[in-house]
Amino acid sequence: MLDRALDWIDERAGIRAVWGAIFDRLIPRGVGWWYTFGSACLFLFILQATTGSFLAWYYSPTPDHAYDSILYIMNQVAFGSIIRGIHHWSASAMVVMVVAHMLRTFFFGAYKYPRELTWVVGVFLLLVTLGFSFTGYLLPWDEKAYWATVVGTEIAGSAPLVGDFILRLMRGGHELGAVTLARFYSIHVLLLPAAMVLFIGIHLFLVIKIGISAPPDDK
Amino acid sequence: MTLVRSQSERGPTRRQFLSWAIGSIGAFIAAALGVPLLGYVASPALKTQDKPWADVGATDQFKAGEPARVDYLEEHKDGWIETSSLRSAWVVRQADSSFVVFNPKCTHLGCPYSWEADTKQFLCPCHTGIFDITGKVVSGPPPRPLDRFQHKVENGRLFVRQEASRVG
Repeated sequence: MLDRALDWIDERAGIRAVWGAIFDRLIPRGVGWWYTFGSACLFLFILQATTGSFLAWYYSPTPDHAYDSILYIMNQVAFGSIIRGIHHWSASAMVVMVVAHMLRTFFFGAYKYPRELTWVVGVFLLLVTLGFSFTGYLLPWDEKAYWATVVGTEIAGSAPLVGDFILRLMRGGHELGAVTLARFYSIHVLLLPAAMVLFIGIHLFLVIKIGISAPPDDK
Repeated sequence: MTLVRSQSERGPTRRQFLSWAIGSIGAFIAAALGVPLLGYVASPALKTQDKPWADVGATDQFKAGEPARVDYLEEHKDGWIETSSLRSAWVVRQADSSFVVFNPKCTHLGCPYSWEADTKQFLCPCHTGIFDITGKVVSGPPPRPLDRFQHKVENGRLFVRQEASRVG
């Protein structure tokens, strides 16, 4: 029954060929656990997108309600503390895995021809991940979140000539407040996820098209 | 007897085993995340939220046969937003120390009424609706006796809870 449904779709969309190209690729000899970091990053991103979508059900990005809505998630909603806990810890895990993935690629020399473009797109993925971390950190709107973002935007503001403008751009004015929280939230849940999906798409396309690099000691 | 065993005798291939393992682990992760998410999404719908009781004062401040108007703050919870609004009620202490609490709005068109100490009746000034101390209509246009609020006594204090009120 399932096979017949798949046959019907395959005849029109050619999905089996796509599936084969993605999952039945030839890979070099000697590939092992070191090569799983990228998949771990992808898994963590899917986990973040899932838990984040549901956190947004009960979160209110305004200074008068942000912290109360977090308390509501933690104390009033069933499994709220688990969903938020997964989002919190996976966020840290994702930064760790993205850096591990980058180091593995660097030390295995996997960024070399013909994979330079994959590396460059990977750098954008790293920046988007850090953007998620920076904007997400403000959203609980507690003392730590507030002052961390004050310091973070001050650091950006210390740049010569354009620093003060960048600080105002990040905060949406001179003071950190309602405008800052709203734009950080919007960037965190709309802009960055769209950028992330786009860059992941390009990254994976290149990985699949070019193939994985062989381990450096393999002749 | 042959030395080469058939595929089914040797059990699943490495490839079959790995697909099975990936499928099982994937299903486990999906369930571990999916079940809490169902509860997370549904939990506000499953809660029945009663209006909270409001403390309107010590029971000794009310004297039998002398209705007293009380003003109190009623707390509202809307998700994570908590507000309070000023409400009133008429409290009548009975001879046996039990209480009756009336909605302070006349059952005719919702005007606030007051207690007339000399005639010992509630009088609504809008259309001269008159009720006795038990809330029964004495004269005028009101279609039914005064509406009552729920109340309870705990540790010598009177608590009131307002149900949805009707007018007209």
